[in-house]
Amino acid sequence: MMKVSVNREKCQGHNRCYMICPQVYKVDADTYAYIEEEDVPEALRDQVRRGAEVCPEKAITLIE
Amino acid sequence: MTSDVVDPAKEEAVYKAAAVASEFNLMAADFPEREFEMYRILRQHMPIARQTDGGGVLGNGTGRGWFFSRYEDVVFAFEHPEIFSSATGLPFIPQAVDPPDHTEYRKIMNPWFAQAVLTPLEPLLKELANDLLDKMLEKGEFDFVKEFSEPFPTIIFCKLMGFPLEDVPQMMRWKDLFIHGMRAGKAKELGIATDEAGRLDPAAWREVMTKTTQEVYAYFSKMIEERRRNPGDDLVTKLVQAKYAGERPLRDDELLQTLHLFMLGGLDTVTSSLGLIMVFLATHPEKRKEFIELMDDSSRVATAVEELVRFTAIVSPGRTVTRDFNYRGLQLRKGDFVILSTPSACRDERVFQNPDEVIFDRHPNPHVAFVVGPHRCLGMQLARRELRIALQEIHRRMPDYALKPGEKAGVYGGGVKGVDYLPLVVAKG
Ligand code: HEM
Ligand code: SF4
Repeated sequence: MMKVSVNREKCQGHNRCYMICPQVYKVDADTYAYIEEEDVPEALRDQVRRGAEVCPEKAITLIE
Repeated sequence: MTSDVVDPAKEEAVYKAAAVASEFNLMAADFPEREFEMYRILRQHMPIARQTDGGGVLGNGTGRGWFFSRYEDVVFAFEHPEIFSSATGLPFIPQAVDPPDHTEYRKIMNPWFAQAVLTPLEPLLKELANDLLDKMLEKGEFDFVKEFSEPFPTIIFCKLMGFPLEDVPQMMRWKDLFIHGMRAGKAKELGIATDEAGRLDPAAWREVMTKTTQEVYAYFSKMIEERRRNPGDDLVTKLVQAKYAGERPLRDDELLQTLHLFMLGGLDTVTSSLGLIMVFLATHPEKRKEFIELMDDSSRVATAVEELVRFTAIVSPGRTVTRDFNYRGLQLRKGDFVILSTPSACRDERVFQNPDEVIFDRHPNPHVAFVVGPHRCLGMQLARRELRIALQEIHRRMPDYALKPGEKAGVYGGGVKGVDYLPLVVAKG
């Protein structure tokens, strides 16, 4: 199963990941991204990967 | 194959790059026509180009500088504020402040521009867009800048700040003086003295800046006093109630510098971005049709707006080098001035395929039009909403339009580029 994490040190709160996959990438009141459930459901894999690929800070890590 | 085979075409290209670098001037009148060709040449042959006058932004004799045009170099600089400092001495919070102070200011301000705060504003943005469209569409032809792209962000700004809406024209004039006062072509129109050749008189310009700053500060001070007495749910109230590092209220000079930057950062950028996007859509009807077909799909329209923001990236922020630093073999010196071109980085063929094409579903699109690193645009979520809603409502109400025959859009270059005249004619529907 694919796992996803956000490096909160690197994240600058662009919310690009959230715009692509809000089911997995959540954003807090300070605009930074976080993950509630690191295991990515099969059906959302592509969307989660696309979210990671647009992050301009390269703050998202996927482990497959 | 040996490396000493000389390719004449390549030789010529290198000379061309040297020529481009030597006369490179963001403020030149013909800059917009040659802009992307020059960036491409610099990216390929002189990715960090030596400058003597800050790319024309700073004026002659301001010393050693460099123009960064490649994505990876621009990103490196944005992400290393300890080497590439924003502390240019300008009175702007948080834009001209470095970490760690910068981090404290952003901690205060980030929550005001979060998704959860901005989503509820969407109906208001939609209504404001339609009010302007009602008026604009009474005419068959109009200057889109005057009728829409200038007033739209300004009205939103005044609403968010809690400023009376009758102050919108005043706000636009102040913004114009600050941002366009140094552009020779516009200075005259704004009443700033120019010489016979239409060149700006620096002394007159400084005088106008000082006077305008005093006026704007007086206006902001009055608003600050009013909110201290009479708190509301606007950003001025939030600022006067904010606690720096959770400890002390912001001083008056901090409040003024912040409000000033919100005004400069929030008004003209959206005007420029929306204006340049409309220039593109007005002159590319097939792309406009494509946009109209996808604009009601919330996910596709978000991706499309991001692509338009990449394509029309407007800002080339400056940084000052804090210490002697060897970057990829190039010796940067303490005090060097560096221009980080987001318009060029956003077209870097090393990162974006077919960078000069608008591809609405482009993926991935890690563009840097709002920069990266600690100074990433505070207002980006607001800007995205303003642009999306404006484009949706405009194209719902006027799907068919074109540049007025025989006229040209007034596109200009600079540290923040834009368009100050966009004559459109709407097809009778
Ligand atoms: C399409 C519209 C916009 C674009 C392209 C844009 C672009 C940028 C860029 C490139 C920067 C970085 C400057 C630097 O690093 O020196 C920036 C910073 C900033 N922007 Fe925007 N902006 C836009 C809209 C807005 C709006 C609507 C606001 C609303 C208040 C805003 C507020 C700010 C602020 C406060 C900063 C300073 C952030 C900091 O230094 O920490 N911007 N913007
Ligand atoms: S796109 Fe990257 S920087 Fe932006 S919120 Fe997501 S993780 Fe953070």
